[in-house]
Amino acid sequence: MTISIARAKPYAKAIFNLALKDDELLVWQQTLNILAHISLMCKESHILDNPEISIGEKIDLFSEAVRQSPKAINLVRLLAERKELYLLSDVADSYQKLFFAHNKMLEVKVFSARQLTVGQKESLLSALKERYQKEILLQCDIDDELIGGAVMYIEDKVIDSSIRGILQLLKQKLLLRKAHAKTK
Amino acid sequence: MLKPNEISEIIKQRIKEFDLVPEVKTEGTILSVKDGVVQIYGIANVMLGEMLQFENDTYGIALNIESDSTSAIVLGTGENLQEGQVVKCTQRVISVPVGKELLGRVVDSLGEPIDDQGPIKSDYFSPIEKIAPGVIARKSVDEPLQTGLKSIDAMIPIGRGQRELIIGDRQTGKTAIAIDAIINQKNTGVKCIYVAIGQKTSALANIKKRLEEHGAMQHTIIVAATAASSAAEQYIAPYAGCAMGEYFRDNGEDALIIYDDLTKHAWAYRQISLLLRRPPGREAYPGDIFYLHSRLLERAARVNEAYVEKMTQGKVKNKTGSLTALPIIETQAGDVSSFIPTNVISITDGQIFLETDLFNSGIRPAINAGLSVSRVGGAAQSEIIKKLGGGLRLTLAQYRELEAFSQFASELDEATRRQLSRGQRAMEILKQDRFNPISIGLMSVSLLLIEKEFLLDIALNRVTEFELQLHQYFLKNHQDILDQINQEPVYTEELGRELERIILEFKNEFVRFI
Repeated sequence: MTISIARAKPYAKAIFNLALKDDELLVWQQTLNILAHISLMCKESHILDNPEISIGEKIDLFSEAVRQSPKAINLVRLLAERKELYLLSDVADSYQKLFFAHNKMLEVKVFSARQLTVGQKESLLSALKERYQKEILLQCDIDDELIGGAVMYIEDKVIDSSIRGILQLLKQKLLLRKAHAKTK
Repeated sequence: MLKPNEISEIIKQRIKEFDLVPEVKTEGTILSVKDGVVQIYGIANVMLGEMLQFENDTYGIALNIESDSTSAIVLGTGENLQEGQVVKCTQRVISVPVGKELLGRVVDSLGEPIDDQGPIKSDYFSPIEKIAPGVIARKSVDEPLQTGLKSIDAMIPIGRGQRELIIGDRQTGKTAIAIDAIINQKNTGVKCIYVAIGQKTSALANIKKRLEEHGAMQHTIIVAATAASSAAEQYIAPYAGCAMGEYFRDNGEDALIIYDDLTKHAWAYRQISLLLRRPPGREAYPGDIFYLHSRLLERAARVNEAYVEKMTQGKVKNKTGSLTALPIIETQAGDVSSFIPTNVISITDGQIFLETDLFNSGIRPAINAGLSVSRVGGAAQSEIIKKLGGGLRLTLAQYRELEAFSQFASELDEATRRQLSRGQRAMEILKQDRFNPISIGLMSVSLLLIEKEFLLDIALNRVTEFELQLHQYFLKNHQDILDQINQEPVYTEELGRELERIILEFKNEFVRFI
C-alpha cells in the first residue's frame, strides 16, 4: 500500500458521484475493474513508466478496452495527462468501498488456519449481519501461519483470535513480567 | 537460586493467569517515514494525541488527522520503521510512571530510568496531557516557597503554586537560581522535578552531580530530554515532568518543577510542526505555540482541601497541594520582546530578569530588581522578610537613580552621599554565592543590616566579609534565635531589639579587629 491511495480517493469520489447521478453504478464498477486490471498488467510489464511509449499509445491501450464509454475514455485521458494512470487500481478499490458503503454492504476478510465449514461461515455471517446491520461480503482464505483460530479484517478493525496472535500477547505479557521480576 | 521445576511452575502459573480474549484493534499501514514524522493510512477512528504502536515496540503520537491519512511523531529514533509496516491504535494517551519511587532518579521523557539504578517499581501511571484544575478546585497562593536567595525571597517572593519565569541571556545564571531553589527545599518536604530540555548531556551530568553533593537528589526527579533526544521526546518531556509533579500536588503535597528551558521546547515543537506541514507563523512558529506553553504552565497551581480529598478518594484530608513552576527562557542579546519570551511572560505570574552586565560586574545572582516582579508572591511572603525587606526595592531604585546622577556631580550633600552608600551596601549584601542558599533566620539578619543601616561605617570592600562572619557568629552563639525565626517567621519588636543587640555586639568586635 502506498501514498497513491490518498491520491486515488478524490477521483473515486468524483466518479462515484457521476455514476450516482447517471444511475450507472454497476457499469462504472465493471469499467473500473477492467481498467484496474489493465493498469496492474501494465505495471508488471513496466509499460506505464516506459518513456519510449508515448502518452497517446498509453491512452489507446486503455481506451481500447472501454471503447463503448466516452466518459471512461475521458477519465483515461485525464489520468494520462497527469501521469497518474498507475492510480487506476487504487481508484477502483476506493470506488468499490464507496459502492459498498452506498449499498450498505460490508466486506469482511477472514483468514483461518483451516478451511471454515459451511456451518461456521453461516453463523459468522449472521453474527456480523446482526452487529453491523449491513449486507456482509465474506471472503475466506487460509493462512497456515496462524496455527489455529482465525483473524478477521473489517475495514480498519482487526479481530485477532488466532493462536499466533494469542501467543504474541502471551509473550508480551511474560516479557513484561520478567522486567518487573528483575528488580526483586 | 530457583530450581528448574520451580521456574516451570511459575511459568505455568502465569500462563494460567493469562486471559484468553481475542484482541480487537484498529490497524493501519505506514505510508512514509521521514525526519521522525510518520504518515499512516487507515486507522480511520484514531484520536488526536493517541498513542500508536509501531512494530518493534516503537511508539508514536498521532498529531495530524487528515481526511486520507494520519501523521504521527515517533518517540525514539524510529530507525526500524519502514513503509508498509502495520500501525496499531492503543486507545490510550501516553502515560508515564508517577509516584515517590521516582525521587532520586533520572528518567527520560517516557519515565524510563536512564541512570543505571534498575527499573522503577511505580504503582501509578498518569497521562502526560491533562486539563489543569478548574476554578473551584483552586486556592489562592499564600504560602512562601523559599529559594534561599536573599534577592529573590526579599524582593521577588515566590509562593507555592506560583509560576515565576526566570529569563535572561546565556551565561547569566538562570539554571544556578533554579538549582539553588532545589537545594533549599531539602528537609522542607517540597518535592522537586527538574526537566532538562535540549541541554547538553554533560551539563545535565554536572547538575546531577551538584545536586547529589548537596544532598538534594533524594527529593528530586530529573526528567531528561537532552540535545541528543529526538524533537518528539523534547516536546513531551515537560508534560511528562508535569504529570510527575501533579501526582504530589493531587496528594496534598508541595512540589516544585523547573523547565530548563522552554525556548528549546518551543524550537522542538516548531521543528515537529514544520515537518507535519502545519503553516508557519511569526518566527516560523506554528499557530498554537501559545497554547503549547499556556496549557503546560496552567497545570502549576495550588489546589484546595476538597480537591485533594477527592483526588485521593478521601485518604488525605485537610491538606492543600501545590505545584510551583519555574520555567526558564533564554533570550538573545537581552531581547525580551521577541515571540516566545513575551508569550511566557504573559502566561506566568511574574519574572526574574537576569542581565549580562550585572553578571559581569560581579553582582551574582545578576537579578535586575527594576524589571523583575512577582505578581502574587507578596501575599505569600514570610512576615519577617516582608517587614525587613520591604524597603529594599525602594533603596535600590533610589540608588540606581542617584548612581547615574552622582557621576556628573562633583560635590554631593550629606543626605545624597548617605543614600548612595546605603544603596552600595545593599547591592553588596544581595550578592550570594552559588549552591549556598540560606535560611530565613540568616536572611532576616542580613536584611536587618540594610534596614537599620548598620553597614554605613563599614568599608564597602569589607561588607561581604562582615556579613559572612556575622552569620557564623549567629550560627555559633545564637542558634536558638535563628531556630525561632525559622520555625515561626514573625517579626516582633522584642525580636528586632534582640537581633539589633547581637549585631551591635558583633560589630564592636569586628571593628576592633580591623
